[in-house]
Formats: sequence, structure tokens, C-alpha cells
Amino acid sequence: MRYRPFFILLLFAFVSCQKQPTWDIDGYIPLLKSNLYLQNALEDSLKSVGNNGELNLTYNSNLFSIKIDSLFAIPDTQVTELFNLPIGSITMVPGQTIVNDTQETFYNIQDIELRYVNIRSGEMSLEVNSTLSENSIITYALPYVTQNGVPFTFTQTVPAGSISSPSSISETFDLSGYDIDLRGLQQNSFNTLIYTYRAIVDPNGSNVTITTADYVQLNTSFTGLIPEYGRGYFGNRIEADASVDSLDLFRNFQGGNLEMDRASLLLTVTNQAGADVRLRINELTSINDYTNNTVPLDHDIIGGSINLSRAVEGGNNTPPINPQTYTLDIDQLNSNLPDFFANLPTQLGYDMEVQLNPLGNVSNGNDFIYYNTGLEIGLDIEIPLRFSATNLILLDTTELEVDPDGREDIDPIQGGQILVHASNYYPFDAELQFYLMDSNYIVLDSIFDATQFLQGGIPENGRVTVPTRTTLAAPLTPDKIDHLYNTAFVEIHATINTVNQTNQYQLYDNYRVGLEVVGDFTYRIENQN
Amino acid sequence: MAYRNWIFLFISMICSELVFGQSNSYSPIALQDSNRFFIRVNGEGFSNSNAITNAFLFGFVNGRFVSDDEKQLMLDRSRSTILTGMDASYGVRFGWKSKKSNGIQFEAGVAEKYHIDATLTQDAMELALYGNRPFAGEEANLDDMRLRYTRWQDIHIGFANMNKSRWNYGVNIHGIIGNQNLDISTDYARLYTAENGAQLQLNGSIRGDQSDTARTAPYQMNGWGMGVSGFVQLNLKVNEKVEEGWLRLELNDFGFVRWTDKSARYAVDTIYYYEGTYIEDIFTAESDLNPLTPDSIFNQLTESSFNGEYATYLPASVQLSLFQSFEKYDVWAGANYRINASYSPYFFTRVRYKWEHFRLGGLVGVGGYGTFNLGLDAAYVADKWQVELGTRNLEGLALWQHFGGTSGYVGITRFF
Repeated sequence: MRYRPFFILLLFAFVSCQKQPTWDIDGYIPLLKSNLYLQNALEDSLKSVGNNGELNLTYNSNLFSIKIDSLFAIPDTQVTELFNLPIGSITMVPGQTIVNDTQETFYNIQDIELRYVNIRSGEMSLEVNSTLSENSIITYALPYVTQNGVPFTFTQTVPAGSISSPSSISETFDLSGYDIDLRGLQQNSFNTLIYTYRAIVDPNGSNVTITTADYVQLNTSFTGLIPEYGRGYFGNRIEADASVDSLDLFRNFQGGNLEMDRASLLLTVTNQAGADVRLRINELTSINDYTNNTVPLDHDIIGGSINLSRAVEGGNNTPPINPQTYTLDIDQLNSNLPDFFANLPTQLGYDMEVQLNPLGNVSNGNDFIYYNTGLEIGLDIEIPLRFSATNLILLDTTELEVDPDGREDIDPIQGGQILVHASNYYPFDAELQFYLMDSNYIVLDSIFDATQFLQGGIPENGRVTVPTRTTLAAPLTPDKIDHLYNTAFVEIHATINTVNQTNQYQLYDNYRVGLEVVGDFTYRIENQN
Repeated sequence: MAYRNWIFLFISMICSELVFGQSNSYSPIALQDSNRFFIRVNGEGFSNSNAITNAFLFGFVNGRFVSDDEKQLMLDRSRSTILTGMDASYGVRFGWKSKKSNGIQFEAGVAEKYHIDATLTQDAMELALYGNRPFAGEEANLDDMRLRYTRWQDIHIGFANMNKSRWNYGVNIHGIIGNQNLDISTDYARLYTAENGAQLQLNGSIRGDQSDTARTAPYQMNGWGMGVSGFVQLNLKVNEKVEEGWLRLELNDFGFVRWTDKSARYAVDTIYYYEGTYIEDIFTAESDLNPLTPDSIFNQLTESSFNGEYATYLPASVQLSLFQSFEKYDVWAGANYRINASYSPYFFTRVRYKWEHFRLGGLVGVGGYGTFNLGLDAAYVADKWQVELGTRNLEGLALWQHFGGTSGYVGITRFF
């Protein structure tokens, strides 16, 4: 039929075979099945599990430390020795000694009496200036500064100079690894460095006439001397420190009341110094900077003294010392520790004093110290997650990024809701709300129209075995979907109340909130082409 | 109704590729004494349903939105079993009669034919229109559903005895080229949606056969077969006023196709649970949501597929009709049934008025894929030409929101 092509073209001019009817259906689709383990929000280092599955909060930190080696740093020094004639003139022959002397330098290091030091790092600089008209040979030695038993010696020819233009030589020496005996010439002193210097006319030169205007000058400087090891008497000074350290363990709890009846804190004091130490803890305070509430620790150790003997040298450790350790168990039986932590501290305040050698120089100058060692105070906190809570506010922010590639699959959703069927084993109710925030932390929307109430599990014989089921509903609108795709962060607001606030309940590691997320929405069937 | 829909139907009535109709385009054609040959070009197609309305089907033309009222109307129309189907064909027939005046005439022809039929449950329709939310806590019954689609090309040759004796008869032998086939059925299938929506469960025995999916272009041979059609006719007049009359029994498309061994076959008997993406600990979630999609279900079902030959029977048509021609009008009455199709017995009566060479008629029918239909046809009948066109679904045009029938046919015969 020759008119067929015409009708075909006319047909395609008016109709499209690429369409299909569109209509809305009500979908009721399971989306996700999962579990929410609140305890997994904590880093592994912040929790432990007991033999019966009990959950505990744990926290390990150094509360306070003092490096005693920093107390006796050898000060930088500069010494100048000058030879010249007070009157007249003298002619010297080649090889004749111009000057030969031994001197000492005393280091004032407060009340510390150092006798031996091994240098970790540091330098000595030597400069010789001469106006003599002939070469001279200078020899500088530190007889009590040795490396592998060999004393430090330096010999150098100083070129001829003149009064108007003195000659000069200079050298810098690395003293790392040198042993320094600071007991002086008689070997019975301290903080004293002995040095010798000698200058002679070059034996291969000519006679030299020295006038009152001539001189030979020796400048010596010691800089940056850091001991690797020191021995002596370190005095009996008192170092005091009062400060506040941040504690992140309860950072996300920003209000409400928490009651707990158990907690333990192991205080460990470690003395790595070869000197007796007395520690005095004047104050240890729990500080909540949200509520500005403070709870001082009430224990016999507060205001009392802890005496530690000196560490002992030897053994295979690096450095070779066996420290002395003092431990103190603090718990609910001997202190107000539960109340201390029930304050949900975000900071710990402390006020302490450390005194070296409280009994004086009992070692007869044999105190010792190694580099970067001293006194440390460590805290090991263990808090059973057993508590009752009243309006305990938990606030947390987490990153969220929704993959934009799946957006076209969601566009046909016209509205509806996301249902979350929660099976809660935790023995506390929670009022929940989630806020969607952009990359600048500006709130875009909330997940729920109103705060949702999640019922807590009911313990039997102290343990929840059958969860309580609650259904939470979050509306799903095109605007909310847009906000979800613009979200960078989600802020979680939860207000927690234990199911029976007169009782305290232990949390176990198998507790969770079982989640079944269901999409209950209106979906538009349409041609996706 | 949107003007485009009217244009669509008008064009479909006269365009041989897209016409819908129900006619006797393959009925025997008697060559009169003055003619020795005929050539006929025809096209026809019809679709109907006892539930789906044209309001829904027109969406495939203009992408219109189907409202809740229209969905409810379809659901109200539906019975426990929903039938829907479409048949379409176009072709050329060539006939001639022997030089002897014995009434024997021969015929040959080619045609392209399509058939789609589906049997659905009421729950399946409600699922498709409303989703699974209304079935929360219940099972949707998807038992005994079937979808069949066949496209084939047909070459036939035959003869007929059209003399003036009491009995006339004829038979055609058809060679079949199978182009595409899809046959999916559920023996038992139930979709359960949990009361709280947290679980979907599909429990079913599903079987499927599909011709070579790599060869889907038109006229590609994916199977072969044979068929037969024929008629037997008793010439009679009910009274003297009747000019011509007969009682005829016709059989069309009685045959089979055997599909090649590259066909895909599926047979799944399983219980499938879906509870969403599972993540043991949401704090360690790394994957995106991966909701259930039709592709994922299909992939799971087709994991059990294998290749192999299979055979299908064509949707044969059997029709018994009585025709009486009066001075001013012609009358038909009859019954039609399609075998191997989701088809109810169809009963019709038709009257056509005659003015010189022109004919104008109407039809009333019940059954088939639909419920009730009204038809209109027109024809030009002359010694050398015969042109007819018509539709069997005026109700689908006038009350398109309430009925689902759409049809049209056209045939042009030239006699020599």
C-alpha cells in the first residue's frame, strides 16, 4: 500500500512510543537491618569487657610528669685568658715557652652539685688571637674531659701577626659523648671544670721580641651542653605544679544527672631518678565545663605525702635503671570516686608538689639522672558502666555523606516516611533527635519532625534479655531528601533516662539496639528514559 | 479526551502497523464469476481487558498520570481473574480460481502476527496499581498467572471449494517462522509483606521460557513451525427473503512453533526472603543502601536458567458464525474462542446496512479479553474493489475511562 509510509510518518508526528503512563504506588520496603552498639562508639582503648560481659569504661593517661634532668642544665659559659707584659720587653728564642697555665671554671647550677656528666650534645669553641711577629704554637687541653679515656687536647700553630693586625685562629669541637669530671684538681669539689693552656715560640722560627703592646689571647666558650647522664647531689628543691588537663571521656555528655556506685582509679607514681622523692597531692578535682560544677576528690592521699626511694642503676633496660613505683587504689570504698566521675568531668584539675631528697644528701653526692627521665604520675581509670541516669544529655556529631550517584533512584519518591523499628536492649529510655548540618555546621533540617521516644529494655534480675520494641517515624519529603544530599554532618541529641531511676543498671557487651529500617513511601512509576 | 488520543485512534484505524480490531480478515473470499484473481492487503489488531481501561493504556501514548479514582475503577472492574490480551496482524493474500468453473480457488499469502495475553490475579493488579502497602501483614495471591507473547511470520497456501453447492470448505497450510516468544507462568506464588514492613517473602514456583534473547531483530528466525487453518460452511437461507446465507465454522492459526536450543528456560521453586541490606554494626557500615530492585530479583531467578528447545502452540481461533443477507441489510451472529490465550468465549451479533456500494454496520459483543463491546464498520463493495474498515470498540472511545477495548482493522481487496 503506497500510502503506508505517509501514515507511519503522520503517526510518529503525533504520538510517541517512548512514553508510559505514570501512577503512584505505596511501597513498603525493607531497607536496612542492622544493630546499633553504643559501646562501639567508644574507641577500644576506652572500654573493656568483664568475665560476664560487663562493660567498663577505661582510661589511661599520664596526669603529671617532671623531667628532673631539665633541672640541672649546664649553663653556657665563655672564658678569656690573656697573656701580655705589664712592663718592658722581652726577646724570646724559638721553642721558648711564652705562657703555660692551668685554670678552672666553676658552674653555678643553683643547689645542684654535679660531679660527673656524660654529654649528650654540646659544643666548645676556641679562638686564639696573637700579635707576636713570629709563629707560635698553642696547646689547649681539658685533662678531665675524656672520650674513651683519652683527655681532650688541641694543638695548633698560630701565624705571626702584628699589633695593628693580630693573627687569629678558631675551632669548634663537638663534645657529644665526652665524660666530664667536675670534681676539680683535688678531686673533691663539684661543678668545676679544669683546663690548661700553653703557648711557645715556633721552634722553626726566629727570635721574637715581645713588648707591652703584644698579647696572646685565648677565648673559650661552651654552648648547648645537654647531659646524657649526671651524677652528684641534686639538692632538695621543691617543684610545684597546678594545672588543668582535658579529659575527653565524658565530652559528649553535656548535662543531666548520672549516678554510679562503683569506680576505680589506680594512681601510679614512678620515680626514674637516682634521688629520693616526696610527692604531695594537694588537690585533684573533677571539672565539668558545661555545668561549671566541680567535685574535689575526697581521699586520705589528698594533702598527704607519698615518699619514693630512688631508682637503682643496672639491668638491661634502656636507660639502665630500675625505677621505683608506688601505686594507690582509689575506689568507692575509700573515697568519693563515683561522685567524682558522676560529675561527668571534661577536665581534671590538680595541684601537686615534688621535692627531691627530702632527707638531704643521704647519697653523699651519688644521686644520678639519665636524660629525659624523672617522675611520672599515671592514672588508670575503670568505671563499670553501671549507673542510673536522669535526663542525661548525650551530644555527638558525626560525618555523613550520602552518595549522590543514587539520587536518581530516589527522585520518584513523592513522600512518605522512613520507619525505624528499634529493639532496645539498653535499660534506658532515650529521647532522640538528629540534626542535619552542612559543611559549615549550619543546621539544614532535622530527621524527625519531633523528638522521638525510644523505650528502654526492662531488666530481669539485673539483665535485659528481651528487648523493648519501638517504632520511630521520620517523614520523607522532597525538601528533606534535598537536605540529606547537602548534609556533611549529623548532630545527635539524646536525652537518656534509665528505666527505673532508683536502681542502677549494668550495661553488657551484647546490649544493642536492633534496627529494621523500612521505607513507607509513595513512589511514582514513570518512564525513566 | 485529549485530541491526540483521537488522532492516535484514527491513525491506528487506517495504519496497517498499528491497527487494533477484530475482524474476519482471514475469512475465505469467494471469487465471483467475473473475477479470477484477487489480491488483498489487510491489517487488524485488537486489545481488551476485563479490568484495564483505556485511561491507563493511553498513558503509553501521552504519558498521562493515572489518578487514584481511575486505578480504583480498574480494580472495581476486575474479577478474581483478570484477562488482558492483544492480537495484531498484517499481511497480503493472493487468490485465484481454476479455469474450470468448479468453484475451486487457491490462495497464498504472507502475514506478520503478534499475540500477547496475560492472566493476572486481582491481588497482582492491586500490587501493580497500589504497591504492597495494602498487603501489610498479608499474602498477595499470585497463583496461576501467565504472560505470553509470540511474534511470528506466516506463509500459507491452500485452497477452497466455493461453488454454489450446499457445502463449501477450504484449508490452508501454514509455514511458521518463529521470531520472538516469551512465556512466564506461576504455578504457585505468594508475596508476603510483614505487618511492620521489615520483611518481604516471595514463595513461588515460577517457570519461564524465552526465545533467543540475542536475536530480537524483526524477522530473525528463532523457531519454526507449521499450522493449519480452514473452514467448513453450510450454505442456507432461513427464509425466502434471504438472498444469501450460511453457517460457518472457522479455524485459524492452529499450529505450533518449536523454538531453537538457544532459547532460555527458567524454573525456580524457592522461598526468597528480603529484609534489606544487612549490616551487623551500623558504626562500621561501609556500604551504601542497596534496596531490592526488580533487576536483582530477576537476576536471582535467572541464575537457574539453562538453554534448550521447547515448543509452543499458537493461539488458535475457532469461530462459529451464522450469516444472512437481506435486501437492505446483512446480519451476522456468532461465537469465537481463542485457544492457548487468556480468552473468554466471545459472542457477537452484527448488522450492516446496504446503500448501493456502501455498507455501514454495527456490532455488539460480549466476552473475549474484555467484557462488552460495540463496533462500527464501513465498507465499499464493488465488482473490482472491496474496502472495509472499522473498529470493534466504540465503547472504548466514548467511555475510555471505563472500558479497555481498542481495535481497528482495514482491508483492501482488488479483484481481477
